[in-house]
Amino acid sequence: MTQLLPPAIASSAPERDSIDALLEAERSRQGGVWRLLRRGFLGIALVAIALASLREVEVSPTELWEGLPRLLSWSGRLWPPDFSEVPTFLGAIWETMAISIVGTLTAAIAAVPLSVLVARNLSPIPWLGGIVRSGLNLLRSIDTAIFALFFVSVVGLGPFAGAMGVALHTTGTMAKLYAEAFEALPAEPIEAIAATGCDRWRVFTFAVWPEALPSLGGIGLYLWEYNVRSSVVLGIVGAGGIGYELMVSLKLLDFARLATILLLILLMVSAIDAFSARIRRSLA
Amino acid sequence: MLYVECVSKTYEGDRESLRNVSFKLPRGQFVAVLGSSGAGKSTLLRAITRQIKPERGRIELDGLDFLSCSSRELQHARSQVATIAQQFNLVRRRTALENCLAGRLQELPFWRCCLNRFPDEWLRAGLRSLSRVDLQDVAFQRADRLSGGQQQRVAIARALMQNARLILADEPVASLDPASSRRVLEILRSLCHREGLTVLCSLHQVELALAYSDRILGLRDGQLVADCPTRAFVPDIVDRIYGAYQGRPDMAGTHSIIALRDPRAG
Repeated sequence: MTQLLPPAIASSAPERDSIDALLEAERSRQGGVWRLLRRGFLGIALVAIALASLREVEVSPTELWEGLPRLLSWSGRLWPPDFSEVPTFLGAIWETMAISIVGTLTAAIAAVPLSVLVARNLSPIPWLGGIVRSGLNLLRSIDTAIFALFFVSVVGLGPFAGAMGVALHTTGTMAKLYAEAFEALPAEPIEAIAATGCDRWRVFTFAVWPEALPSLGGIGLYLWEYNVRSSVVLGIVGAGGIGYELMVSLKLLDFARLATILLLILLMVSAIDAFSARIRRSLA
Repeated sequence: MLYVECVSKTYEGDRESLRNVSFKLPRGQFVAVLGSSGAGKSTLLRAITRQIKPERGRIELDGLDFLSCSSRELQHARSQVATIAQQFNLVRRRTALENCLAGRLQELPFWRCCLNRFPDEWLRAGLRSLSRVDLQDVAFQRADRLSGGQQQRVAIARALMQNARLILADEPVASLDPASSRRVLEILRSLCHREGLTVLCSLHQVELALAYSDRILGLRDGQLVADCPTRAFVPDIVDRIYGAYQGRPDMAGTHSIIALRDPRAG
């Protein structure tokens, strides 16, 4: 091996000895046998958890195999799609999008002050930041659909409940991501502006906001895309939109109608993805 | 006039980074601070504006004690002191001119700050400051489009706009090429000598300190081990500051630099 090394790296005998001693010391520090055992135990534990999970969900390839003809016959009935109700569906698609827009915008407005409280480099009241952080974790751990279900019973069936669900869940996620974006900003420009004797408000509007804006915009658009998709599901819990039509078609086993709805959802999601990707590029 | 008296600072669980550091800076002096990495140079500069608070000592600029004043007084006092860091001094997504105007941001009504509307006379003053560092041509370019040397010069223009009496520069040329480094230090020196500003500038290159400063402070393990006029600087002082320093700078060469710029030294 030594012959292959360039002369500058090929070492003399005493040097080699000291390097070998260094490697030996590092190996013994890592604790060879115990380390192997620990890794082995970890591997066995992972496999055991995976097997237990398979058993719990009763994965059954035979049932899947037996159900296959049914699946194929239904898939066949998706064609030709029934376009007679397209105007109604377009109204429902717009309702779904409106839910996601109102929900995401509300969350974006709420997330800015919350994220400033939480961000370690900006928080004016650090102890309050810790409490707010726990609150945000709670919002994030409850899914949009569960919030929507709750609001359906508070404000009644309809898109308003859906928008509330989107807003609450998204506030948790968005404030956390915004805070991370603030924390990732380089400290020097912020310190330089603060060192000229400016108060927090001016430092935030002059230095923090413009530097963070591309990240905040990107996060907002990404979450909006996500919310459009989750707003489709909201129809199933009674919060209106295209999801409701989708559920009705499934219940009636009206596959021609279902095909049209799926097609429209696909178009909507693709259009929004393309639009948002374009805006994110221009934000950079 | 800046007084620094018996200033000590210990970071949590660490050895003392500053130990009883005392010195006086009169107006119009360019003072270089030398020392190895970790000797306490940055700590000293940050302590002066109370970005970190020393445990003991007194820091006074034109009669105001920085360490005991209220936070409102501190805010005002900081407006007298401009800081220039090694790099990333500027808000990248703002123009050179806007960054320059940030020097007086604390006087701007908040609504103007939000809408990014600066009064016309401010814009004119900002352009004048930029022209004094030869940057009027790039005034409307975004800061992240400027070279490292240009960015440091915008930071100096910001200090001019701020009407600061003291400039604290923490290794301002550490990430610049030799030509840009000289340009930045020349500007800082001329501000001292022509406009009576005081500059306290930490440097890693002894040669540059010898070529541009009027006085050299040497820090080692948080202690002030050298404080002398640049003309009186002798190679032994380098050993005092850096210890067993193997690559001692070419003192003969630096003496000739001093002789070139200062006829008295020759």
